[in-house]
Amino acid sequence: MNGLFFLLAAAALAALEPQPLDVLRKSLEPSVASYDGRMILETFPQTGAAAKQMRVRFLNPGHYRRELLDASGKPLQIIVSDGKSEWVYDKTQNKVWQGQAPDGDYKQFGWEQEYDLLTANYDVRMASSPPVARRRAWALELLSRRDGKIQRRIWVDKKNGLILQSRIFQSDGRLVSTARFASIQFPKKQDPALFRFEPPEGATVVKRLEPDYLALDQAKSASGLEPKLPLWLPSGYVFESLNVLAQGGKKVIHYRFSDGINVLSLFQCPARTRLNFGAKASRRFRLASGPATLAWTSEGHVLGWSSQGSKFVLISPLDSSTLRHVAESLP
Amino acid sequence: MECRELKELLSAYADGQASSEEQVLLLAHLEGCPACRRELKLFQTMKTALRRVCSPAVPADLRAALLAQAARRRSKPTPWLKRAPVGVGFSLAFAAAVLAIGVEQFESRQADSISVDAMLAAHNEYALTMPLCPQELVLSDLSMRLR
Amino acid sequence: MIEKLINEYSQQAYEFAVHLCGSAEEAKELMQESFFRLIRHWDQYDASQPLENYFMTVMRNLYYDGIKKWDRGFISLETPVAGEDEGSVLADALADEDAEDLQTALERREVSETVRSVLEELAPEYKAVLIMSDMQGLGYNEIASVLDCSLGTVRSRLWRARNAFKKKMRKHLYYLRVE
Repeated sequence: MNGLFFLLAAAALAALEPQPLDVLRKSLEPSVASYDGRMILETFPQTGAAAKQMRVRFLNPGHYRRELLDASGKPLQIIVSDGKSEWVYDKTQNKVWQGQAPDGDYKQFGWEQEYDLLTANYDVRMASSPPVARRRAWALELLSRRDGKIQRRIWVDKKNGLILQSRIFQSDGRLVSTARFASIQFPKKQDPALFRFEPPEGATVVKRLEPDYLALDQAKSASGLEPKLPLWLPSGYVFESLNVLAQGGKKVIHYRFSDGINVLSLFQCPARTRLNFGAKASRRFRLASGPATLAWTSEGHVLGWSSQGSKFVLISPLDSSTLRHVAESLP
Repeated sequence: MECRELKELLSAYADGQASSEEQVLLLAHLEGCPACRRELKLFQTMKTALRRVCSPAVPADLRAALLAQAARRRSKPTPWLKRAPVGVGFSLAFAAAVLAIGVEQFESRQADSISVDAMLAAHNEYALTMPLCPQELVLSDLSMRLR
Repeated sequence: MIEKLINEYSQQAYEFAVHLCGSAEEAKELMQESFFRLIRHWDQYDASQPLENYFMTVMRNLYYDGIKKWDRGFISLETPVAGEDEGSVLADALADEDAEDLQTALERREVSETVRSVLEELAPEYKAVLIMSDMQGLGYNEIASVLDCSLGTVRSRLWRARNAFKKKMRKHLYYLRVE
């Protein structure tokens, strides 16, 4: 009798806890909850740099106001969307970039495709979790199927599926960054004026060009360049789409590869162009095809090199030897 | 044939615009692919749903106004202005692109120089469309790159 | 010739305008302004293109120029007819309940309002092709004539438009379901 009771209780308990994939799907769905919270963003390692603080407000559908705060809590940058247009305002320069927020609905990949890619490359597991920002949450771990190492940990709000905390890990297992809600509320109403933006007096307004998501067979006609793609890609990465940027009168192809979570960007520049790395700390070396420069940024590694007169750039959180392998596989 | 390559063909087929060879290929594939069959059905349903959105009739006063405009033109010849039509797609985009990247921002003193910061911004913009993207983290990087 | 345009084709053009602009008021403005342009730059009309298509081209160009909400920087989307291999590709094989939901929702009669809102959210290029193809029943040849592009471009643009429409529709349905 006792045995049966425990069996039933265990079954009931198991029924209460959802499957990891169900939690994942819940977290991927568009947020319905309108919220107002404070987030802490940290990137490691950063010698001497303080964590960033952001006030985040979201109003269904697609309205948001994100303010990057300084140490005293005053906004340094404001990013506002009314669901159609996005404004990025930098207070220190009194400059506004206006355009449309990047829209994944125009990607070549469908939702199912990306989900398939993600689950093909990552194993999803549930872990136990204390509350985050006083909210009950499930903790999901995403481990790379390639080497079994953890890549992400996300905390999903049990009630509304919102991601309350994200931890991103490097391929060597090191924690790279954290984004979490320190506090969050779900007000019934929010002032719609918060989600509109008027450039302040005397601000420079720059139009931001919206990226496109072109298929490979459109690369040549859109850029005038002969597309060059690497023959080798890290395991799990596939080509998703490309965009053509206009830079200083030149056209640059931006190829985007993804493994379902991370992005590997390859830029192809026309002949006779120089790459301007700005003030980034970098080191130079040589690839078989020519001179190369490697820099480290918050986006990951940036590898720039020459090959047959053209310049290429790779941007990815992957390690530098993987990027070298990709670079050297370019025909 | 891969499902993904077929998607565009499915769409054309739903419009009755697939060639006979393409139809043979498609029908053979559909026999064994429930996902593509569902997708085709979805496209057909979408078409019907769009068709059902009612289209209003031209207001009578608008039609009258246009006719009046046409009549005025015949009675009073206007000098034809020679102006090259703006090719919208490309040149508008190009002009906007130069404006958007902020020529004074990203172009260094040297000609033919391409900024890595602009590439980082483009990388971030794409990263924002990824599932599980920590949006705030990437946005804080993006706003730094746009400077 | 112009009178014929007004008498026989203004309905088609007006429908195009209304669905593009989303409002009768703006559509009226667009029609009148486009008509004005048509007359003003009559010498630019090449008679090899049917006048009704050319008028729609003028309207569409004006619409793009006049978009105040946002600028979409689509660079020339001309596609060569023979597609190249797009690299490694995953087949969509997931048994998708969401697709079932979408299918059912679209079949319901009351979906027009949602369809209209979703259409509003699409990029102008995609909106235009969907309106011409599915709402006005124009064939690929006519659409290619209005957009001044190849048949291959029409085909690929329609597919991308439907892809985007599908994704956005799904989001809308999700919001509706929960609210």
